[in-house]
Amino acid sequence: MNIDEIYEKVNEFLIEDLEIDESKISGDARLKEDLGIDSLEVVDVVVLVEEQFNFKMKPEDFKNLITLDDFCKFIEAQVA
Amino acid sequence: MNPFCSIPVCDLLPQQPPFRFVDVLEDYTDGAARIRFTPDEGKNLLMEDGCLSAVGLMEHMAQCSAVRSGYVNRFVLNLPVKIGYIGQFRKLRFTRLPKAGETLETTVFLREQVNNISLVDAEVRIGGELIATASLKSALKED
Repeated sequence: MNIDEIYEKVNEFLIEDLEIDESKISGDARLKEDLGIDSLEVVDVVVLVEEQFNFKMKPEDFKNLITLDDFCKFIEAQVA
Repeated sequence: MNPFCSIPVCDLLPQQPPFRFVDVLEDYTDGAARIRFTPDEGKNLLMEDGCLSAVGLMEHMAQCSAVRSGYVNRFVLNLPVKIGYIGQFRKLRFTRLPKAGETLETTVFLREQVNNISLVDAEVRIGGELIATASLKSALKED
């Protein structure tokens, strides 16, 4: 799976499941401050990643993920 | 006798009548709990026109999640029952509201838990008829 496919799946999830306004979504959008992915949403993200990318994120994985780019690159590294 | 029926639900969650919307924990297996509840106009709040209101139905689903968490904490993990808060409802669908006297059989499945946040799917049935589904998140109060 290449990085574009990862972005496509992640964006679809953010819009359809987390109901985030599409206009807010960009690579440099901050997960917490700009997209509103707080501790309550993290559980949804863990489910998404497991369903779509077949690995399980740990809560501590989120500590170094600041932007959407960080998140998608993290997934890319895990599924490579 | 079903051993779960001997566990008073009042030991598994703090809500009391007339604001309790669960009667009996019928089963707990592999993260899924099945709970029975019969709304009663004389005993429950959140009744409207002879039916459990939509808000009451949501509260019922949330309390089913609380019963599941309470059972796990008390009987699986040997921890005290913790106070929980509704975090969020998503994908709430219902086809009709339960009438007073109809028995709801609700199953809550744990989909994921991260720290003190649980994500569960709830299915509410009456006599086998699926009348409501939802995904909901709850947060247990930290010690």
